[in-house]
Order: sequence, then structure tokens, then C-alpha cells
Amino acid sequence: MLSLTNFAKSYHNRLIIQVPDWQLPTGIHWIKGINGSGKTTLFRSIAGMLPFDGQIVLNGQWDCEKQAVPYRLRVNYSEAEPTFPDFLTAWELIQWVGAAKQASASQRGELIDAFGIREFMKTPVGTYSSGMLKKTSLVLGFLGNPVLILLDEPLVTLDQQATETVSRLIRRYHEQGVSFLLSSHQDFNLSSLPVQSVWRVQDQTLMQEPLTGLPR
Amino acid sequence: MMAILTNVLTKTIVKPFYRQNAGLLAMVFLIAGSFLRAVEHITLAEVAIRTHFVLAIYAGIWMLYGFHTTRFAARVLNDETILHHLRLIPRPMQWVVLVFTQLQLLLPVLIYAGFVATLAIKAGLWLSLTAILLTMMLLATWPLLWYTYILRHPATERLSGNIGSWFSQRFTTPYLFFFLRYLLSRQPVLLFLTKTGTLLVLLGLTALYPTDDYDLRLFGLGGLLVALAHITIIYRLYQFEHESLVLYRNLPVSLAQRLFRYMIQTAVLLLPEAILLIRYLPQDQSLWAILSVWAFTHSLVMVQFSLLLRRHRLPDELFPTLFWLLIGGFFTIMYQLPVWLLAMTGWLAASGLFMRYYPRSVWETR
Repeated sequence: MLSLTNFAKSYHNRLIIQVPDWQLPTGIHWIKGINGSGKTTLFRSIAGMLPFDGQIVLNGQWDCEKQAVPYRLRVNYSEAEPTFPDFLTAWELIQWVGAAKQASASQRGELIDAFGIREFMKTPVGTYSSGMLKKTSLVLGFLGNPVLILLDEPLVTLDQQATETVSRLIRRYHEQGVSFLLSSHQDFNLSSLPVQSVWRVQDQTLMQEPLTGLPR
Repeated sequence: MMAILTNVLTKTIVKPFYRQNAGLLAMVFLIAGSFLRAVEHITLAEVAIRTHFVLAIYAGIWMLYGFHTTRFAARVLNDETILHHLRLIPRPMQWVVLVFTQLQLLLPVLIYAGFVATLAIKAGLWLSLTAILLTMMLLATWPLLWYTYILRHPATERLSGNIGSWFSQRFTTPYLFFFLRYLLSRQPVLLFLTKTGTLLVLLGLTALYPTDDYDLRLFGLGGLLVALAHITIIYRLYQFEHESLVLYRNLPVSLAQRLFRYMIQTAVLLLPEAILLIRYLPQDQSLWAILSVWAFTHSLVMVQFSLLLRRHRLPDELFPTLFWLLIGGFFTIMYQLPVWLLAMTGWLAASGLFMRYYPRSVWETR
């Protein structure tokens, strides 16, 4: 589903993460790592938001740089700490991203209701709490018809109800063939999900960990 | 204690202010240095100290700049919660620290006002000198009222926030107007100062044009200055896209479409200049010719934006680029190259630079 070849990302000549060869099959994959280990950098690179060295290819046909438009149509990203222009509303962001990702009006409405943001979605995001921002970011992450969704720290700052919504949506999208990369710096409360592999970002690279205690 | 406090305010308010406004200040120095010789600066200042109306215009410009600095500092004081602790220190010390900060922000105005005041002393014009000193004292002290209010009432709702909220409830902003909304809601003084400056330059040129044997090159030079005066706004566009709209890079939009959208956004920004040029179209120039000047200006604005994508730089590091653009632009205009040709060359250069550097562009904090 996703392949990284000779991937490397540095800031100011300081290597953050390097992945010589990574072939990821369809499914749900959990990326672990302590704070500052490079998870977000990896996710942002895969989402096409950061320049990098090497090659990232989706489904063997869409290169992140060479087929930038079809690739980005199929790879969605929900940020760990979302930053949006504080004068825009969640509604404006959803309309903007939804139109670009070719999300139907019914899907937009469904996601808005699923995360319960209808009540505040027409107020500027500058007035939101961190949980409200996170919910907005998650709605954006599920818009359109993605092949891969990257959820960076998806449960941080969320209430119990929203956590269950995330779990339910991941399961439903996964049943429709969508793959997920989930990141977390701690064990999170999605243990009921059929996680296919677990990886740890450590020492500037990715290492596979055994699937202990997780359903397959 | 006081040294620590002034150090904190210098790092959180003064340095960021000059960093953010380096482009605008550099342009003012460039324009002042290239258009006027030293003797003309002295003549202008002498006119000011002898004519109360001109001195009032000077004071008005200084106050506008003072308001710009105060608004910036007020925003930082409001947003940086750590600075709310200033309220806990004794009031005299609080005032001294805040006035010292304000004086640092006013430095360019203080230096220039000092120059004008020196001339007033030499000429024995005590009324003008008093007016200058009172203006400076007012500029240094009145912000205390604003700053003290913020420290007493932190995180209050802004009027602009309420207007924005009202707007958001009723309208959905298309992407092409995100940046314009950012400027209107977050940088209105910068927008106002830039537009006032550029429109005055063009207005002055339209008044100057019929007085002698000038040709289109005069407007070409005006277009060059107008384009360079937009550097701070263009830097804000670059910063806004990288810091607040980083998600845009994840959206399925081709490079050509992205370039086209930036061209539309910058064209909207330069709309007032287009309207002014058309409204005051010189009798011996065609609409086509004057539009070529606007196109040249727009192409230079796009060149500046594309150059920003090449390598992340802070605003104060842009001075050499501006200088070379000014010199290069000046000579190409003076060599009487067709302005449309210059505009096309500018657009081509901007497009080439954009295609090459946009995908690798990244905002790297140091």
C-alpha cells in the first residue's frame, strides 16, 4: 500500500529520520515513539507537507512528488496539534478541504454530526478549546475518498465520546479498504482495532515491534 | 529585576517587531535614500519647522507609525500570557519598563525627529521644537494607558474578532480570500501604511507627469517602487501559508494551479493601484500602456514571493535581495525596454522560480 525508499528528512543538516526501505501493506498500523522522536515529521512527509529526500509511493502507482495531485487526493492527514488561521471557522475549513478532497455534502454533514461540531463550527477557530480544534482536524482527516489516512496522536485532548467516534470511524473506513497510520507516544485506547503492525520511531529510524496483546 | 524585565520585553516585543517590519523599514530607507539627496532632506525638514501645516503632516506620520508599534506591542501583551505577570510588579517600575520598550519601538521616529528638532534649535524656532518634543513625549507615554488596560483586563474580546465572527456566521470565505482576511483582521495598519504609501507615490507621479517631458518610464519607476514596498505584505503571505495553512500542501492542487492562485491573490492586493492608474490615465498614454506598468508591478511582486520560497530567510535578511531588485529594475526601465516585455519576463521568472522552489520550500524556525 505504501512504500518508502531511501527516505530521509533533516533539519539544518541534523538528521531527524531515515528509512532505507519500508513496505507497508494495507491495514491499520501503529507508529510509536517518544516526544520528539520524529513521528510527526514522518507523517507530514508522507502527507506531502514537507520536502524530503527519497521516494514515497502509494499503491505502487502514485508518487508523492511526481503524481502530486492524485497522491494527495488519496492521502489525508489529521495533525497532532492542528494550527489553522484563527479567524476562519471550522465550517470554512471543512468547505475548503472538502471541495479539494472531493467530499460530498452528505459526507461533510455526517462527519460534522459524528464529531458533534455543528454547534460551534461557524465561530472562528481562535475561540476553540484544544479538544474542539482536534475534532475539527479529525473531520478534515476523514473527508473525501482516501486510500490512506494519517492520524497523528488522534486521541489527545478528546473526550470519551469523541474517542469512541474515532474508533468507530477507523473501523468503518478500514472495512471499506482504507489504511491507517496512527501515531502515539503512549499506549492508547484503541486496543479493539485490528492493528496489523506496530512500529517504533527510535534512533532516527523505524523498527518493527511485536504485536503483543493487540487483536489482529 | 528591571534589567530582566526589559530584556524579556525586548525579546518578546521589540525584536519581533523589527524582524517583522524589516522589509517595510528597509523600503522606506531605500526610497528616502534613492530619491532624495542629503541637501533635499534638510530642505524638507526646514520647510516642516517653518510651516505648521507641514509639521502637522510630519506629526501625523509619526503618530501613525507610533500606533502601528503600539498595536503590535498590545497584541503581544494580550496573547503572551506569561507577560500578564507584569501586573504583579510595582506600578512605577511597570511604567518605566513599558515606556522603555515603547522608546525602543519608536527608535526610527526618534532619530528622525531628533534631526528635525536639531534644525529647529539652530533656527531658533522654539514653537516648532516644543511641538516636536511634545509629540515625542505623547508617543512614548500614551501607549501606557493601552498597555495597562490590557494587563488589567487580559484576553478581552476584540472588536475585530466580533466583526469577524459576525462575518463568519453569514459568509464562507473562499481560499483566494483567506490571506486578504488575514491582512484585514490581523495586519490592518500594515495594509493601510503600505497602500497609503504606494498610492501616494503613484498619485505624485500622475501629478508630476504633465509638468515636463516625461515618458512611460516614470510610471515604470513608480511601479518598481510600489512592488518593492509590498515586500512586508508578501513576506506575510509566505509566513501565513507556511505557519497557518500548512495543510494546503496536503491538498490535491497542482503546482500550476497553486501559482495561478497566488497570482490572483497578489493581483487582488494590487487592485487599488490599478484603479488609481486607470482613473488618472495621462492623456498621451494608452490604457494598454498604463496596464503594462501595473502588469510589471504585479510580476515583480510575484518574483519577490517566488524568491522567498528559494530559501527560508528572516525579514531582515531580505535587504540585499531588495537592493538588487531595485538596481536591476531601475536599469531595465531606464534602457527603455518595452514595459510589457519587462512584465512578461517578470512573470516568466516568477513562474520558473515558483515551479522550482515551491515543492522544497519550508518554514524553518531557528
